Amino acid sequence: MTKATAKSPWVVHFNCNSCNGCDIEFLACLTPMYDAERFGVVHVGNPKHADVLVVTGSVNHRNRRVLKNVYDQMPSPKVVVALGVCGATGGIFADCYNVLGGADQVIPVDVLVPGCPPRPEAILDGILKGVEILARKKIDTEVVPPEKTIKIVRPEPKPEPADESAKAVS
Amino acid sequence: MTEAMLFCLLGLPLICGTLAWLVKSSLLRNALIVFSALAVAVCGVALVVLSAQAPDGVWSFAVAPKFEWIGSVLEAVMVAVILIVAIKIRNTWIILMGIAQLLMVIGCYFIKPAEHHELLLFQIDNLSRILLLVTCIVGSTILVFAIGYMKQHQHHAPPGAGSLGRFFFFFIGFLGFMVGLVASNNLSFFSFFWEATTLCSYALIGQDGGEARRVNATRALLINSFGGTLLILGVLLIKLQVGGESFAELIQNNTLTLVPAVLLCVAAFTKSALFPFQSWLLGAMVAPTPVSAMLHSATMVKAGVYLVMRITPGFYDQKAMLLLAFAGALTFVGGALLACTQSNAKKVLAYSTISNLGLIVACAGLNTPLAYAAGLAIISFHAISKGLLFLCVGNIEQKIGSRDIEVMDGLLYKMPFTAWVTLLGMMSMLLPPFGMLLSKWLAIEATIRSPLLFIFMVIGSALTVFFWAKWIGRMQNIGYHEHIPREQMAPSVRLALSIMAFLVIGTGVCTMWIFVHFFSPMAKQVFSGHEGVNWQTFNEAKEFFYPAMLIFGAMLISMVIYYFTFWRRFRPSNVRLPFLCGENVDMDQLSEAKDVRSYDFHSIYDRVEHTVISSMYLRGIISEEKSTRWLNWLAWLIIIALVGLSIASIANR
Amino acid sequence: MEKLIEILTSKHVMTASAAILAPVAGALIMGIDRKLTARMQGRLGPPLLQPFYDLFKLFGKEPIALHRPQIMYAVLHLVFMILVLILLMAGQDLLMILLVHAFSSICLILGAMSVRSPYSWLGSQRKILQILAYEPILLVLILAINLRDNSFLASKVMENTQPLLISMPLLFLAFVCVLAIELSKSPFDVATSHHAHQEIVKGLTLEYSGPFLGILEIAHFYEIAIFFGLIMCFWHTNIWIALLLESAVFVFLLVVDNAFSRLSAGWMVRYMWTVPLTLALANLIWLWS
Repeated sequence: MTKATAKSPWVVHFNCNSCNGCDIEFLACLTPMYDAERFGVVHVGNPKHADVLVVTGSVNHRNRRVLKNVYDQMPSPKVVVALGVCGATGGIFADCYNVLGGADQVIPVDVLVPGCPPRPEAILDGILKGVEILARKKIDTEVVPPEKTIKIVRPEPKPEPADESAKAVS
Repeated sequence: MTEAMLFCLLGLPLICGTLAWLVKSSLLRNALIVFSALAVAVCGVALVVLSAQAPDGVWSFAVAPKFEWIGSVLEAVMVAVILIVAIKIRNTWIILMGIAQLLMVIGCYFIKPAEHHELLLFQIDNLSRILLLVTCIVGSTILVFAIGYMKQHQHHAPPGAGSLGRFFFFFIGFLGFMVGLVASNNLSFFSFFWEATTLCSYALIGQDGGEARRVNATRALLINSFGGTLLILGVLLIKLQVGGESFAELIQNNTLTLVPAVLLCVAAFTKSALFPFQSWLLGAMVAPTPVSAMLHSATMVKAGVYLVMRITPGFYDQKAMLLLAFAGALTFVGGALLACTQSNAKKVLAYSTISNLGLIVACAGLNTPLAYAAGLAIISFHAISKGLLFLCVGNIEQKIGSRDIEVMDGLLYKMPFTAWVTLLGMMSMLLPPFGMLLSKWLAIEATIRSPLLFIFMVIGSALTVFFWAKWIGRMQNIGYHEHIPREQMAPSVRLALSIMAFLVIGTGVCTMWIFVHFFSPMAKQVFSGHEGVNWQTFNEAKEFFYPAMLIFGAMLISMVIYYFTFWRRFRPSNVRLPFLCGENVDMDQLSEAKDVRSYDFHSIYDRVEHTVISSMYLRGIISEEKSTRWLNWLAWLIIIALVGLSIASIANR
Repeated sequence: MEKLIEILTSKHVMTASAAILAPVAGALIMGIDRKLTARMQGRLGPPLLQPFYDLFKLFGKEPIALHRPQIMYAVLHLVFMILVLILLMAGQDLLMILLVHAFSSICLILGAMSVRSPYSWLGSQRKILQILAYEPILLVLILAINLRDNSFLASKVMENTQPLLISMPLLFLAFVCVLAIELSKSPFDVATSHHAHQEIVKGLTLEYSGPFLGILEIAHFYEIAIFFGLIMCFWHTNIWIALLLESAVFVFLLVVDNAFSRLSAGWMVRYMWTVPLTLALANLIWLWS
């Protein structure tokens, strides 16, 4: 069973907030050049059939719930591979008002693949690393979702220039 | 004893019906109805059992020939009543046909038949017994259902509606007339009962008053009067040509000629609402649901196919019967095709009835023992399943206020009992081990020698699967609930649904047994006297029943596997919502708001959007109006060819 | 009852072994399929035993579902698919076998319809269209067999010394189209597909996951084995020619699968009811005369 799990990682790919750089590189893994299928990787389009969740991009307020939902709908054992700098920490967008940070703000991430974007070889390596972790996990491996405080950064509301408009009217 | 039972069955409904009309107290009326339902069921079963004891399984009741006038007088009175109704509603066509019928009835009376020493008024053979069982058991169950249903119905009834008493008079009377119809052997008596059922259906369809009911009731009367005219014309011809008085004589002496037989068949088409006469049955759904159930399953439409099955075995070597089979097969395909385009539950059921009646007529027209046995099986299994489905739809309609299939989503939670029973009924229409699938399979196997018919059958059954599967899918659509609340319903409704569901399951479990021990010997008996009947497929098909038991076994095995491996191990923590690209509503929102379904999703601003998933209705491809026009045209063509062929057969002789 | 026992015992061992070996054969065929497809696309492809790995993995996953009845339909689907195989091995009535097969497919559809999922609903509607598209051809095939051998029994076909292919070549072509639908190969893979994960997101099988998807996979292996077995029946007199025929059909299907894109469900019904059905009917008329 463990061996079978290691040999057939089905991957679902979720684009959180990415600039599509990582996504293109991820899809390149499936091309004849890299051929992820030789490791048994199948790119399934839904979490219900998947073992590995590949996340690209940073997490923001809007897609936080979506990412959590997708993760919850995967049957355990499951692993999460976060691609790129954005997936890890939020990257250059980390300080944006709407960005929470990396995928690990919402779901437990097992493998981080650095790079902006990472090379396909690195991505394949990352997925296989994730598979190693996957093979060690059991169905009932309790995964505690991270209890991190979510920073909420909203732009300060600008003071209304009430006086000036009043002046303009007069 | 047997006579007593028969007369109980004929008289009791009328007496109880009249009393129910006169009685003012609703408690007393309900008691009367329950009593008559019980009496009809008990007498019906007793009559069937007792009459089966007679030698050769044919029980007959004979009187002295001097009583012959009774039949003619009754018939004339009934025709006159219809004529009066027609004059009251000022429909010229019905008046004309009524006058023609009256003249022909009087003409019939004056034709002196050959000398008899006795007059066989009633005769009960196997075919009659099957119809009797169907009428008495299914009919009385519907009667029980009607108590609870009509009470509720009367609250919301439009102002012009007839009283409950009137309703039950015709409703119970209907059963009595139907029993008379299947038991009577004398042609005059048969015509009398035939006209009586027409009148009852007219009265019941118009029960609620109002324009739509009036139009549809008039249409039913018009089409059935046309059938009645053909029937009486056929009887007149029989009397003129051969002087026969009863079915038994005609069949025994083989004296029935093709022309009256074809006339009777076309009359049966009108009653069974085959294409091109289907419009009255579709219109009849404006009536309260028990009426639809009665018309579609136990009575009315079964009278037509009964007549066809009664007369066709005499013509097993005639080419004309193949045309009859084509008329049936066309209806089978057409009904199924139009059912695919409907989202109105009652209309789907109506088209499915029409389609199945077509199948029965096709079986009768094929005229081989196998087809005949399949026809018998379809008559009985269809009556039970369709009766059940109509009752369920009636109950659902009363509860949710709609008969649209698309609205029936989530019913398994809202009204679990009814929904389960409905699912059972629908599954019995198309899945093994239930009888309908089996009989359809036999019908297909019987058509093997006429490939064109075979293709009709195949397309028809494929379409049947299509529309049932859609509906079943919609009905069983439900989110996850740990506990499902008990459904509140009137006791009579619950009782009626339980009885019918029990019947469906019972016949489903015993399908093979019933077929091997009842239907196929009956078919054998009917065809045993004839030369040149194709027995090969019949004998082969019987062999296959044993492996067919494997299907049943497989079903059981899978249920056991399922229960032990999955059902028991399934935990609420294993429940996940459907995949909606992650934008689902979550479990909390589901439990908070009543109208949120698990396929609703979040849109911008986290607003919950309601999703609508519709089934395919092929609306862009098939339009009901156009298809009906074409199908009617084809059906008329076949009927004209049938009549032409029969007239040509005279010229050849 | 005696007959039942007789039927069960006569080919008892053979049937049982077939029922066990069929999914293995089906999985192997699927493995070869994936390998060949990869090679056609210039890839290395997964190992030959990949379908087995996938299957075992699925049974090791958490059993998640939407509600209980959904699972029942998956079990029914599998059991009836096995029953099809058993009935075929026992040489039973072909028409009944077809009905059992249709029932098995209907269970799959009902299972997919029982959940409130738009994609799965969409897939099941398309699957109904698929059934509508191929069922007439299978029925015509059975009718043709009946015309030739004067019986519906599968065993009678085997007794005839003349291969089926000689008397019904056009029907064979139509049957290949049916095979393409059954194995969900392009351009007919409208209901669920091994390649298009994004369009209707796996459609029919979407809401099954873990062991329940595994059950459906096993049923699919059975289906592959049954249909390839039927191809061999077209030349049952010589096993080598049968194998040749089978591999020819297999490669042909793969080439078509790789060369064509997926087309719409409406197109599929129109196509199946015109070209292959006409071929089938032409063959039927020829047999009839």
